[in-house]
Amino acid sequence: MVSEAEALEALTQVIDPELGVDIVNLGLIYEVQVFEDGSSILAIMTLTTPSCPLSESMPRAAENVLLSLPGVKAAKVELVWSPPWDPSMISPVGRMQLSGGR
Amino acid sequence: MSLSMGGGTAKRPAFALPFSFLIFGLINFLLFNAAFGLGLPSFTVAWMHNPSALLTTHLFTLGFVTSIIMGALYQLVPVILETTLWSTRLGFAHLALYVTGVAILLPAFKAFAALWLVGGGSLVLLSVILFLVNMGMTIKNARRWHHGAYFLLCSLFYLAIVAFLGLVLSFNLEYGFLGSSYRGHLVMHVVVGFGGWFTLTILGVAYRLIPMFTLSHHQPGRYTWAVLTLTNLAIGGLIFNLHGSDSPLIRAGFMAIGLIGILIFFYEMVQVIRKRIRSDLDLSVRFAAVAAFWILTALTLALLLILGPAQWSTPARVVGMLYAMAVGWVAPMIIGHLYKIFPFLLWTEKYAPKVGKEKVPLLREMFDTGLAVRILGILTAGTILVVTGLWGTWLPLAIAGSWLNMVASLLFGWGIATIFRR
Repeated sequence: MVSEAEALEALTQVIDPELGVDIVNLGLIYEVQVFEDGSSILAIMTLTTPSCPLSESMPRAAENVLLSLPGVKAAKVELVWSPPWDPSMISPVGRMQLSGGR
Repeated sequence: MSLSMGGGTAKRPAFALPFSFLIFGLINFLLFNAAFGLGLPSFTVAWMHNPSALLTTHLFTLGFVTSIIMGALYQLVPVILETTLWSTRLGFAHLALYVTGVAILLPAFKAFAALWLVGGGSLVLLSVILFLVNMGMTIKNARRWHHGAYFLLCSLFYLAIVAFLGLVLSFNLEYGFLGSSYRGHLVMHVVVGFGGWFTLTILGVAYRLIPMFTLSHHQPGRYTWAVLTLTNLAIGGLIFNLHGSDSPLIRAGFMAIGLIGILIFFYEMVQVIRKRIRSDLDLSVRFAAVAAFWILTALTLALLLILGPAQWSTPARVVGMLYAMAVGWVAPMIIGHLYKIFPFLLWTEKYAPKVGKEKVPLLREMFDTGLAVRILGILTAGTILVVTGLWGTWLPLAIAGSWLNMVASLLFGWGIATIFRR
């Protein structure tokens, strides 16, 4: 059965193509919930700005990654704008990547 | 890589629509640089009523910049305003009319064929009307209004005026009804085009994109209305002065007001960049830094021409000032953002469906950043040589600079081509 931690770890495969940092370390994933013995996952995420040109591809990518997890039959990613994202939500790892350390 | 004619999604028009405008613009940028280098000796003798100058100018303004801006706006406006493009079909109709009109206009300028100018100009104006309707209906449905949207509204208003003025000037070439006011209308056409349509679009897009891409803690807002007001005041004042006393002092005063607006804009951008989280300086920011130098130079040269002795105002120096404005300010701002727009267009078309399923490139991995920086260096050097040569009345220097910029444009075209060869 997939755990929330494993789902979150899987989501680090989704990289923002402009920033080069994954959506977890960017602070874009607000919540992950696993249901029904790990066969169904709900992720709540946001984007860096409502104007983000990737507003269609990032949630879809997150769904693809979640669906690729063993035992997962359904995955839904909800895009929310509240609370609004701000740069303080970037993790220390994300900040290091943005400042040039890889 | 396939080009989709239909499709597109809620916020993204079909790939082919913005892409076609961008490629058309890129081709015309190459042609502009060639035409400028070849025509430069004649520009220094006379630039008004000079067929080569008219062709070269419109290769830049219509062929390059307006095409790029239109293509980019089809991509950016629905995203920035969180709405959908009102009509993709109207966009393609606009594309067909615009490309046809420009293709007729450009050789007509060279041949000084008035009726063909009227025909081509009419098609371009009609295409602009379609574009304005499409943008207007898209903006009307916007879910989010912010200062960038107001810059865009203003720039679209000026686009309507500059296109109409262009057609009037074309008719005048055949029927001569403007008489002595021809020069004033021509200057108005240039002011509204460069100051209104180009500059306000550039400022509005930069206000939106630069904070986004730098991940800055500082979001512009405090002085944005001042920038919008001052630049509009400058443009409006210059136009009314042209129809009034056309006093050089008043002209200089309004130019100074525009200069203050531009300086405030750059002050805000410096705050954005200082408070950024990304340590690397985005390419669009590096190009913008060079462009900043040139708009300030161009406006300073314009003030010198207005306030200085009459003998300073030679055709060569006027051309030099306009070149600083065009190739110094407008071109780098456009090119810097094209290094975002072209890769993004291809990425969303080719790689977005694959994200999360397989490894896909980052946007910056789709082009050679080192080459882009070298292109910026060559373009800067070339522009310095052109402007210095024209103001110092040393033509060979200016010609050398123009060919250096031709090299820069060829390298840029090649760099963009490699993005699509992936």
